[in-house]
Amino acid sequence: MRKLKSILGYTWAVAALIIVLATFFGNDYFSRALASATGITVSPWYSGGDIVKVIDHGAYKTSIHRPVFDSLIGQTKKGFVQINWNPAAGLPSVIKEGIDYNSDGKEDFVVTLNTATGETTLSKTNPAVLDIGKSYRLRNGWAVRVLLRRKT
Amino acid sequence: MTIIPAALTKTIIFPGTIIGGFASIASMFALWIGASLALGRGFCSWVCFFGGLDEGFSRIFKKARIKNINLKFTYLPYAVLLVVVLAAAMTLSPVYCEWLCPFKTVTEFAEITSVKILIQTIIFVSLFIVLVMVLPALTKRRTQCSLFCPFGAFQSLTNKINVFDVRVDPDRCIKCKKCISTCPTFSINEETIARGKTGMTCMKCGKCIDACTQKALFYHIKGTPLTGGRFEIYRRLFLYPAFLFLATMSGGFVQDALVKTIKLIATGSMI
Repeated sequence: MRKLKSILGYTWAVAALIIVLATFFGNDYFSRALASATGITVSPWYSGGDIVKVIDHGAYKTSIHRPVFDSLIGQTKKGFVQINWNPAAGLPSVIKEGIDYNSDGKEDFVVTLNTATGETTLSKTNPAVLDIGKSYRLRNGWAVRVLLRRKT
Repeated sequence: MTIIPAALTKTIIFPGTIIGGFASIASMFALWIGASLALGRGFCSWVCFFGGLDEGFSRIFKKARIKNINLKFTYLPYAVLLVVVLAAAMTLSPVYCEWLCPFKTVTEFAEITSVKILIQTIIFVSLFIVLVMVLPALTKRRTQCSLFCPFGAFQSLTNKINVFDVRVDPDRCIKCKKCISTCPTFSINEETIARGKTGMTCMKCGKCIDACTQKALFYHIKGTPLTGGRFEIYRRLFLYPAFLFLATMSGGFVQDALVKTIKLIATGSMI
């Protein structure tokens, strides 16, 4: 038993060198395997959630994400909906757009975004819409988050 | 802090990407698994670039100005870990990164545009000054690593599954306590010496081994005999992967630092 333990110990110790080499050389493979095995995604509080609707304006596109109310268990009372505009090259200096985030056929709010400064304004028609959140300059466009109250 | 939310929501609460692009989370996890399997908490002493700052400041003075620190404080990282994990699970946000990480002071300085960012910045800078600059200089210990870092606390648990450890031969020990005063993470004391090993928080830096004049401390491979004079083999089998990890991880940083330094000298700006 003592000898077996000793052999296993030495084996792992030598394997440590191989593990280090494999960790770096195989990092891409291992990270992909890890991601596909766990099925983990970035929290919608950071990614904005899945895109549910894309409106093509020709020079640029508007992407409407799903409303995010995700919490550890159940849903939060307050959340947001993220709107993306891209590509940056096709955006006008001021975007003004009416958004129907819950796909009920009625416009819920009108958002304006100055694509030079990131300044935003919001005009709401749906009482579930609370306020305008932050605007974010993306690698190839802009995003705005509009704060929402969850309908019970 | 990502574990509970990941288990319950199948999402990672971190501003990054799962694969590729900026802050690839899966890549960081793969690195962490490799480091834990190969080195255990040895990652903290041989690889962690943040710990390097702690280490650097701990070498400013020749002698420690503060010598007696209550060992109860070494449980603090576990408390921080517990609080961070629970708070992150409740708020679905990376609480440590957003509120407590002292190293934000030297990595991601956010523009102060709100009271919240101002408070966060004050916390980051205060923790950095106290834990990474002042206390390491005065105690000659890695105080951020041993008294605060929740990742270090979590990494200590990986020492349990890692094959390398540092052992003490109580028969050779003359109780000079040099190892105790040298250990940067308070991982060795009279109690652990009597048990013939270092504490769970040991990051295998080897300072105690170097400090011991009696060669009573040595790197060891779990399962192998504690006697028989194969200590040099044990040492090499640990140091090779440790150096390899260090060199591969830091190679890019060194290159980047050199380029930025040359840019600073040539143009007056690092950017």
